[in-house]
Amino acid sequence: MKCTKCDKSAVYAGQGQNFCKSHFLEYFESKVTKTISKYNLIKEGDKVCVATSGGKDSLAVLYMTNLYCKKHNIELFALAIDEGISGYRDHTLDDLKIFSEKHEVKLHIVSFKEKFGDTLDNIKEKAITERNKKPCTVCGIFRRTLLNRTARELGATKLVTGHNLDDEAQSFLMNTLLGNMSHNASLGPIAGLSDNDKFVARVKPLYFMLEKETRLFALLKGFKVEFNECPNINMSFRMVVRDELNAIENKLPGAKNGVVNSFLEILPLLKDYYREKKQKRVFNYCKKCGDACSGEICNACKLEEELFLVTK
Amino acid sequence: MNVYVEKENKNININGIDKNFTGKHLLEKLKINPSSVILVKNDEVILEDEILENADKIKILSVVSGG
Repeated sequence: MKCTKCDKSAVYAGQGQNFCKSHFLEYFESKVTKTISKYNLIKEGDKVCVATSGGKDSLAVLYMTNLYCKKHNIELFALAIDEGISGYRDHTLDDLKIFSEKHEVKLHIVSFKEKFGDTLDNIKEKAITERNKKPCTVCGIFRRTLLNRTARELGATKLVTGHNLDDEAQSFLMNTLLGNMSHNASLGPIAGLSDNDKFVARVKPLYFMLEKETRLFALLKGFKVEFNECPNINMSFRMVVRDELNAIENKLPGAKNGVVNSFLEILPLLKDYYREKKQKRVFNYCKKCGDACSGEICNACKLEEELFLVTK
Repeated sequence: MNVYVEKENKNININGIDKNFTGKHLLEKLKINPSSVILVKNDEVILEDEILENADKIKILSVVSGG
């Protein structure tokens, strides 16, 4: 099959358009840049923190955001969390260090062990057996907390994440299947509901890029990205939804786009509805760490107490 | 034809393929969902409709990663 724009062989088949390598890269870069501009994800005067792990999504988003920020003279740094998952995170962090040096990006790394007292590998057994909590739940709460807290401490005004269209479609379906509609209100190209100075605004430049497109971009750009799946994912509900969604996409190409575009039509209504509901509640600050939360202490501090971890 | 499946980190040898055997046929044979992979033939990214030959070296790269 030939490229729609030239005579070269296509490496990508989208809906109604096929691209060779150079036209695919052009398409990808243009679509991400348009997403940043259209949704005003990053603007002049921002200090941008890119949350990164060294995987394909975070390298792609780091590369693209760095390109955008350099062009617009906006300050940027990268932030990685070392959860302490041996045989997984140590590999991706090595790749990330090489990448950051090559692209002249300042990289900060903070670890669960340093900030929550232990590695996820050590925490997870206790979490499963004593507290009936899945490793992904523990990891998610600690990761989000540490990303927000560190980004804020380093003076960031925007926290860029590598979430792609597949992630968003999966999250929407997971929340819907579980009956957690209020969680859907926190999705979107700009995540979250609250304008609170304790929260750094989370933005998603890869929002409209398929996971397959992101992997292809990383591959064609020559980023060192090897297949590296978290060993804990087989315990995850996300994996079930991901595989089912891929099966549907195969039978009905464009289904993932359909899910996200439909969701975007109702998102403004969801945000308004849940913002109004939230305003009726009193906003608290965690008694332990001072982060904004709905109860007396935040989820991360609650989890630390439950798992008998020591904050450092 | 040597096929490397990245997700399982394994090599498979497939011999005696038909004249018009394509990437799509290969994925069907291995029960792999095309939405979750990228095909590489002799170090070049290809689409699923590309015809494969016995001497080709194929990589099936996984699109999903992370956790």
